Amino acid sequence: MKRLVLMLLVVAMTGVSRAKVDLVTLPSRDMVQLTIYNSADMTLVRESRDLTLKQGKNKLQFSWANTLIDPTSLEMLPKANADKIDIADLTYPPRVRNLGLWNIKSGVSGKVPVEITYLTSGLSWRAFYMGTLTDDEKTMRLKGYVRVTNNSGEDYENAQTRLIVGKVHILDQIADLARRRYPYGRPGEVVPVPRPLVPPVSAVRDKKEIAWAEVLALRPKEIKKEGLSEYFLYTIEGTETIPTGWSKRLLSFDVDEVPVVNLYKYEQERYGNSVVRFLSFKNDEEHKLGDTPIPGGMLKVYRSVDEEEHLSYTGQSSFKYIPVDEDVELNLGPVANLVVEPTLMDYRTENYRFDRRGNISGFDEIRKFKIEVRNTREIGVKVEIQRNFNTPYWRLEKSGEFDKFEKVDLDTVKFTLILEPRSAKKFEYVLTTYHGVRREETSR
Amino acid sequence: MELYIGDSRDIVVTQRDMTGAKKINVKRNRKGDIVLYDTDEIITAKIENFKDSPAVLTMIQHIPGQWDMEKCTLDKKELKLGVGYKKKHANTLEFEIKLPARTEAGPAVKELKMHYHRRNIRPGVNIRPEPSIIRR
Repeated sequence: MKRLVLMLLVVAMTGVSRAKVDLVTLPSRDMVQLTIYNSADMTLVRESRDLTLKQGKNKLQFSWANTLIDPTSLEMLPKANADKIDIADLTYPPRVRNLGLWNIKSGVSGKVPVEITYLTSGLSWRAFYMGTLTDDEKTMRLKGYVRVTNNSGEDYENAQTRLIVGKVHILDQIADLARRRYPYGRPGEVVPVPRPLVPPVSAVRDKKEIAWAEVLALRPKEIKKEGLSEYFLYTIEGTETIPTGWSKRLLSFDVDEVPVVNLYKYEQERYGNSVVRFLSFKNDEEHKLGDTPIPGGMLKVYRSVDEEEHLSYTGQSSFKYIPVDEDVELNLGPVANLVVEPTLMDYRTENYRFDRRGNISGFDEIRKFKIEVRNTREIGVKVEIQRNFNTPYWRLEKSGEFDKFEKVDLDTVKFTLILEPRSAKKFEYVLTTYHGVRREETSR
Repeated sequence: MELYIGDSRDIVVTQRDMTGAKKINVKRNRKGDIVLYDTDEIITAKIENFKDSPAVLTMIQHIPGQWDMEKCTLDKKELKLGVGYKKKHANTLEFEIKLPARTEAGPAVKELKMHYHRRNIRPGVNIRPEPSIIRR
């Protein structure tokens, strides 16, 4: 079901009459390489075909109907006998859509391998991750998957696939260029491409057979990773067949025992009244990672519950690109099995100051807070309670059971507590905030 | 854990504000406007038990802002903070009142009287300085 039609027109050596001769068997693709730039919806396709050329002028007709190929990006390079073959130009006949004509002057006759490159839209890839926490939630098994989807209108069989992580800046969208009425003039006039026809049932069955054969072929494919300037290149081992409209999921990496820290945070102004759970680790050697940057995607976290490895769903979070050696902190959502209860126990004002006119010019507000933290889980946890004040002029006196106190910035403090399984802790603090002239009085 | 079953009609509480927030310790500015004052407030609550069995009523009173209790009595007997009543929150008091069953003559009556001062009130400022954080 090839939608790309390649016909060879043989021209007589005298070169005047241009009779259309019978179609010769289409040379099939020998090798295809796809490089998918996800962020720009652009894929670079390099294919090699064997063309049968006659000596002298040759004309090659190329059609890209029903696909999202950008015709202005087409290029053809001969692989053998390059000095004798001159690819003169690619013309787009007027008033004819989706058609291009290559003019080739050949000094040899016979089979010539050529390489054709072009840009197409419609191929994309996504990264998915699955994390499985152990019972004590100290380590996690992290599996990364990559899913490649082909919506370009063209089938790619036995294609060597490469994926690029990174943001590319292009001025014209490939899909817009592909949908233009004619491949010249100013880009911008978009003509909708008719939807590709649904292939007849028998063809689909054939494709299913191809797919199953691959599935049954045993060893999971390896993905080779390397850096490429600002981008990162993932090369999938071997070749893939992805017919149009299909997707494929491949395992990208599988790392066991990544040490993680289970952190809970409480901040009323940001998360409301519930405690939010965070999972933190780092993309480095110590954490069994650090080989490659991790492309962004959705991570679903599960917890293995007993020896039979039944899983319970813990939470999910999507994250952006993680470079090597970068800290990761993923928000897995609010929990109910940890409770933080702050209560205002006392409020009073004092130290009133008056100006020359007798109006109030300053005073102190003194608030006493009591915070109770309860852990109803079977494992020990670390909780961070962040308190925000509405003024940078304050003074704090703390007491009670907390493990660490930190002044985060000029109006925020953080208490860190480590709790044993099924336990509770309480601490208090007295906050004095200064208003008006009292601010100057106390900052000296 | 608490289950709300319904409203009771056998225990009746009648609460009255006896003084209407009288201002004391008034501080004025040069122009004569009030800038700061305290209040003297007396609240009485008459609790009647019409049931045939004794009951315990947990009464919650709210006092906004900065306050201190001058005298709190239950049937003329003085209650002290921490002993007679608890402070749940800076602005919330909780009283536990034991009511005997009704008699032939009529319901069992108890009277709670709270005499307190609200301090350092600035006119024009929102009386509640802190939103009370109540766990749902």
